Amino acid sequence: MEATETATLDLFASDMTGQKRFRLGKVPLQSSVGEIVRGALARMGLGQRDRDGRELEYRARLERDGRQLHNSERVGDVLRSGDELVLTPRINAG
Amino acid sequence: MSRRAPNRQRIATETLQTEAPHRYAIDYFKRDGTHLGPIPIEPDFQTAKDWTYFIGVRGGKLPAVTAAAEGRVSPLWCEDRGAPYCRGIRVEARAIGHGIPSGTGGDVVSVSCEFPKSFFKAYAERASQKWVAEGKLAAGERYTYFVCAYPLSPAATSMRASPLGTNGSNGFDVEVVADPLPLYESELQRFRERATKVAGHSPDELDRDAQPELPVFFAEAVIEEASALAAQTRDRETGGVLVGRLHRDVSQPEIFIEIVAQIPARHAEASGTSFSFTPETWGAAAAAIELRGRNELVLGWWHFHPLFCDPKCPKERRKACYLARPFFSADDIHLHRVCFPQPYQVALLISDLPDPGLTPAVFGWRSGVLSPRDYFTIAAP
Repeated sequence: MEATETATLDLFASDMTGQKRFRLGKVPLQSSVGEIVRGALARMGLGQRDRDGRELEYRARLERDGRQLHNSERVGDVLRSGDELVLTPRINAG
Repeated sequence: MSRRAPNRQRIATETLQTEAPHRYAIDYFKRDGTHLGPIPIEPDFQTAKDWTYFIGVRGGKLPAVTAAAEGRVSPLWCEDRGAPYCRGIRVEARAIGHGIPSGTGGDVVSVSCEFPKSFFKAYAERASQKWVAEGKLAAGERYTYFVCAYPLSPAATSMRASPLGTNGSNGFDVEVVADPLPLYESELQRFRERATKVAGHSPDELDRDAQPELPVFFAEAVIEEASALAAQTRDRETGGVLVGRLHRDVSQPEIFIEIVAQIPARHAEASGTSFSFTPETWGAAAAAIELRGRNELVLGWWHFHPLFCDPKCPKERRKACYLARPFFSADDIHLHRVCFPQPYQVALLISDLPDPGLTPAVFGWRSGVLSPRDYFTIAAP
């Protein structure tokens, strides 16, 4: 892991199609994955709520190894600078 | 979900960072002329901005990049009533600096599109439930609506500024990355010569005023496979992901899409009336695309609606019943808006209908609104 002096790293995050992609800069190592996902969603313009206004459940998939990260995992423990996260929701069709 | 092409170059684009400086409301009247009053709405203009930007991309005027478009939204005032009543909106999207094709006459290129009042139709339907809840409108009762726009104060405008940038509380920055769209140079006419057109929409206000549809070509096998999977489940919803390629014909100029395969949804949760994509579903689809190794894009999704109609329902009643036709539910529209907001992303719906049985229909973005659309099928060479 390449930690910077201020204990942050830079990541990339995309929607589930890979066609909306963002750079997340200076992400604190002590943050949880869930905090990063929540913090990024709004500013990436991705839908955060279902049609009834309930919060959508999102998970982050680490492109490097295809693993679904747990929202409670710590950024500094599981991510490297330059890693790509794919943010994927649980969402209903009807 | 799909991997980016390894040789992609980063294109730096800077787009207009202006939010709509108006607030919007729907003003309702009963059919007998009774004024019900206005209800504030908060329209999401992103699909209109993306559509406008993509019109520029289709015409070769704006760089073909993946980034969400920024743009300026302004009301088009009704010619007879004047402000605050709108007949629609105008969206201007522009790109500045790098990535603009040569010969476009400078460093700043902008494209604008007009969107009719029907852009607000779904907002009007949703907000009208307030009048139903208050007993001022009966469920299903028809009404007339007007769209109103009121200028926002500078302070309110600044509060609606772009959310990108530094997040003070979380302490990290978010910056859009504009990757080039992977476009295959192809001849649209050669695709048309091999294809069969399937008409998919009925004329309405949107059709009269909308910009031309993006041509969409489905490999016949995709529809056959989706129909076969639907036939297997029959009484439960099922679905999957559509993958393919984006093509550009510079001689037209035009962009069109080719759906080459469907990937059945794994780890999904299904019942007779709903279908859930889970994070594991998206992960499995990404792995399948990786295994295919053809540098394909996720261009949409498909799902199946079982027979919702009562078989004993008289034929005459069925003619007026939306359950007897392919339709997108509010959940379907929401899913498409959240997961497939790009102007070129589409949805295939297989419906079990009383008369013809399994029936395919395609939905896609048109002037920022999701609607049934025409498509082409192509047999395997």
